Amino acid sequence: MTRPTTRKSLHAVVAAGLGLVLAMQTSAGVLAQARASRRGAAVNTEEGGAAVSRRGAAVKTEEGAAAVGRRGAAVKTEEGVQTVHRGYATPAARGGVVVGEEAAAAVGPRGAVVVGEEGAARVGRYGYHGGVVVYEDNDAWKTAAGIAAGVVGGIAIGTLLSKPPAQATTVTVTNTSYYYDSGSFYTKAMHEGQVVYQVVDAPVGAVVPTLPAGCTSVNKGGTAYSQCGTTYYQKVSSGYQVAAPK
Amino acid sequence: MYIFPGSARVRTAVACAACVASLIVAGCSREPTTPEAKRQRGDEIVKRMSDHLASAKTFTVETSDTRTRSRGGKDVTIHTTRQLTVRRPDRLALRVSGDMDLRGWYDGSKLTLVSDPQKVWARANAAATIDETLDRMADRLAMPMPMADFLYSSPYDALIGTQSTGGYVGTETVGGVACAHLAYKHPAVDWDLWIPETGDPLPKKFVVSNKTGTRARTTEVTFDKWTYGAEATDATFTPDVPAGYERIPIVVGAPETPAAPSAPTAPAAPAAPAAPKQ
Repeated sequence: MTRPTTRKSLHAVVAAGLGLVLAMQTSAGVLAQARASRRGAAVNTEEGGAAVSRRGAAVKTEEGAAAVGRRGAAVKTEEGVQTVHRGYATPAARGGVVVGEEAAAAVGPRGAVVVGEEGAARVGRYGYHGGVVVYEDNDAWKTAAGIAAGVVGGIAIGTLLSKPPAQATTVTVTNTSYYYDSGSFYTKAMHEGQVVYQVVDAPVGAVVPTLPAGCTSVNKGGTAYSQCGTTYYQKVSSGYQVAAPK
Repeated sequence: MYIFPGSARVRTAVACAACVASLIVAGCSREPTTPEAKRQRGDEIVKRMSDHLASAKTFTVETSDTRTRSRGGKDVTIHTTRQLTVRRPDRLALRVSGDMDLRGWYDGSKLTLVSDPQKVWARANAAATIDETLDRMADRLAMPMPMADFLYSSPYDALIGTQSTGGYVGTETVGGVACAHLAYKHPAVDWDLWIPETGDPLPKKFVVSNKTGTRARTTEVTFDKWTYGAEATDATFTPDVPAGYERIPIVVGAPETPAAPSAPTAPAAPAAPAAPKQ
């Protein structure tokens, strides 16, 4: 990646982002109401889309895509992808940034940002913010976001799918049903009046039969855990239980 | 040459008559010709419709709508029919069928939704009025309704903003009914509306295109039946959730309760900038 190309891309990103931030609201990007449409938009312009939060941003334009957070940044242009992390030897444990042909995504311990064909969405501790990004299934999301390289923990928190992964198993925690697959938990939610499956934080107490890929052994307060992305698991007789080390 | 003294008077009279006739035709024409006149005619028709809708304490409306959505990288056309019962200022009941299946009730404080095929239900805090609840459904609950603009207490204000341009287009027939065709544009949304030229000024057809995304999204709504003064008791707006249905959350667009400024752990994604009210 050459510096001029990166700078050009970033200029486009910044230019698009500024306009988009001004226009950004919540989910009005695809609304069918005149009043709601006039009042704001999650994404804007023909040049791309963006989602911005106080802790990070992701933008996609015709010239490339970029995601920036407190812990690092990634820029994609025609010449490749460049990622920068700030002093973390294992950045995947704290999140990751991926960009692909059709979407860009950033996921971290405090939330996630996804920019896709239909709009932008960001999810934090207090819920979902953004436009409509509903993928047919998790494979479609991974394809769109170029997840071949993978983000530990799998699909970004907050992502909406039309259906859960085919191989998902049902896990019940305190009377709430979750669908589990490859380190990700999904729960039913209503979006635009339709039932979708939303990726959520691993619910403490959930027991899964096997650990997902990419886990490391850690010791917290004298207790052994397996850390998989931002989720900690503790070995129990029936498998591995999601835990919250103190 | 002898000039018949009356011929000049005749010619003058004919010329005057022609002038008067042309003035009458121009003055009485039903078709505005200038942009200003078209805008004025359009605004008048929308206002008449708006006042008529706002005057109804209760009404029901049945609509059919078609829109295209992208799913898995493919465009999918979604057809739904909707039945809505409105009781101003704070009750709404809806049933959606077709490619979606949903029942819903706004009872003055809560919005309850039931999906019978999935045997699930959801509930969210609503607002004190239909207007505010419709805003909340669109802005925070990602649940826009294509015909919602016509349910507000002032459909005129819902449809036309300060940056709107356009007006009356002409007369067109919709479903065998001669209608005034109106078309308005706005940086964020374009819409076309057809309202009968005679009888009650209730919408027959509405086509709205949202331009705020990377490509325009168009929804076409046909208003199949309006019923004014329909019976709408409290029972109409009381949620009917079958036993055994699982409660699920609604994907919300903003926190119901903002975090306190002094909270030690700030949210990852702050609330979006304030909506520019028009």
